[in-house]
Amino acid sequence: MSNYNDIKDNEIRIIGNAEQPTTTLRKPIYRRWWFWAALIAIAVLTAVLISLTMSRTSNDTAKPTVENIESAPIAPTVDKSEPATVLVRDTSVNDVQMRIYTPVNAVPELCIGYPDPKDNTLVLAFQAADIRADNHEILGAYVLKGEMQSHGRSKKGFCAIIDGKIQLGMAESTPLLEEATEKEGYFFRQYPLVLDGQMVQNKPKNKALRHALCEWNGTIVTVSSMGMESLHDFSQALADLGVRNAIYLVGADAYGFCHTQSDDAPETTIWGERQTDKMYKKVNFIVWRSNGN
Amino acid sequence: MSDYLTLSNANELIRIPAESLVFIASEGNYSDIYTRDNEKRTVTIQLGAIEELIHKQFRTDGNLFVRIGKSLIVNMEFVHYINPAKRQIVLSDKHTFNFSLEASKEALRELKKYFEKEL
Repeated sequence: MSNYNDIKDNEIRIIGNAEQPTTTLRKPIYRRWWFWAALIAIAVLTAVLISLTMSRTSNDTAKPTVENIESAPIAPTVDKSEPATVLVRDTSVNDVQMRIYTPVNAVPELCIGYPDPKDNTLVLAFQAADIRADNHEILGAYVLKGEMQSHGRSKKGFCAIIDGKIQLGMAESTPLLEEATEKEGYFFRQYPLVLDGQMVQNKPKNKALRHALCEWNGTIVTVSSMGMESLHDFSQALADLGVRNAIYLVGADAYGFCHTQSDDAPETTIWGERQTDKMYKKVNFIVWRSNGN
Repeated sequence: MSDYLTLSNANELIRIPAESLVFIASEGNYSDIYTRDNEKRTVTIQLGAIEELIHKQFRTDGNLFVRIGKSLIVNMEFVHYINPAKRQIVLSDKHTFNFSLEASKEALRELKKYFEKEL
């Protein structure tokens, strides 16, 4: 059997017979009319492609493709003698105004359901994975404290949180998903925005408030656009800011909050809206929680 | 026959006794492996690759597993009930587990014929 994926949904195949390497209950492939039709079509197509390639004079140089990239695990810096908080700074790159949130003395995790901004163990919360409009489940593979909540890979970017360390990357499949299930970790998928310092192109072209989870200067930060931006401009601004890796976080009117220290007084900033529609029963967040300090 | 199905990647190795393997379901590039103790384990191996491993590792004791369409590999020892019209196949040892799965009518009709031939 040359290709073990060569099977249709209406077929079965007995596996492992020694005398017949794979006993199949269907006609051999070479006795099917479509096999020969496909063979002829491929031959014709190949001839056409070769002639087109030969006739074209192109100066294009092959661009390296960005596939299966993941960052090194980044552990939060936690000083238990200091309180958990979020450092906030504003910046502007390519006319894109951005706010950078750096959680300090706090450990990341995921949660399903709206976190309470009055919970003073939480310092930062952003909506993480998207919700499917058809069945209201989480879009893409999602692991919550080792429990697989949903499958899928419609978005290639991912964030894995294992032993409190965040890894961002892009891959169709990654062993980090399994590792997250085995080590009571967390995993979700989103659009990849920046990989290895290079901006990644994504399909959505509309403008909206944008949020991202980024690896920047060796630490994990979240970045929000201050105005409506296209995904392209936001991603390019992140790359130009010097972000090493970044994936998207739910944008537009997505809910979130952060707790900061201002002149020794705690301050809470809330953005977005809490939705009550049943569609949002699996609304989910990446949050940073103080580690017992 | 090897007593175990061994799955290995860069990070880890998993050995599953053949007699405890009930079925394997495809989830795109991942596969979910269900065992007799009602446990599910997700691995980052495509179903086709697992079929190849079963073929190679259990080669001398064939006819134990069947690939049903694109999405399932089933241990035939545990096939308890097939109803092609309802597109239903039930895997059970009548003791510890009972999995009701869905497959195409045509595939289940073929599987039913296969078991009937064995009579």
